[in-house]
Amino acid sequence: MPAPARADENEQPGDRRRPRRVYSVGTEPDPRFTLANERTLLAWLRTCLAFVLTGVAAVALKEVVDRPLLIASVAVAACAVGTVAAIGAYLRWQRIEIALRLRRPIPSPRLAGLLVAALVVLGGTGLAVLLSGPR
Amino acid sequence: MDQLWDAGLQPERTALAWQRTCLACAAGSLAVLRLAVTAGSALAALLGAVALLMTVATAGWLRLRYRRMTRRLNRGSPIATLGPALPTALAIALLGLSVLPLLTAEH
Repeated sequence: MPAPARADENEQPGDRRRPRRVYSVGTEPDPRFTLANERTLLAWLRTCLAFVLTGVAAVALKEVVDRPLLIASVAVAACAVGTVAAIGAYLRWQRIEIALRLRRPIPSPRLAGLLVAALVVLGGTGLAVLLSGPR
Repeated sequence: MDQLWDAGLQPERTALAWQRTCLACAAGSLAVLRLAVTAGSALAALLGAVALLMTVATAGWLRLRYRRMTRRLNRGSPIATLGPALPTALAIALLGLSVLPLLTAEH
């Protein structure tokens, strides 16, 4: 059995962990929740990276598909979603960690809806390009 | 060696999640670097190189962090902070920004 977390322990004097916005409130949660939160953030970041790399790959397609405006739009849109969502995912990690420390409910994942919508739009665009045949 | 703190292997799973993320980031940075070289964009190459360096530095730091975290958990101390997640998120943002110079560069 793992050692029980000392949940009653308040912030120790000399606790200088950053960001202060997170570690200056509440009490220490079970480390397993903290680690689960961290792994969730990493999963988000890998998803954002996939969006960014899709956008970068679209740039490589510039040679093959002769539709520069479309390629540019898809590339910029995919990278924008990935970039914004990466920062958003980090901020979400902060909010969840604060909620864990204060023993409050975890905020709902609106970020997921955005990514799903972006995926549908980008995927649909790619499908349309493929179906419209080579130029 | 280090005593296993948690039967659910959470610290180990977290370390593996970091490895997957760093690997994906490194691969992405290399892809951007390669595209930047063929497109002739110095700015995109710079962004890719910075992202790659951040990823490599993060990977090195994580080994140290895992050992430190396991010691703290066995003692019952609060574990260290999040770790290099902000630099990783920023590295991804840098790769995302590199699309602009890549699109506008002359071949």
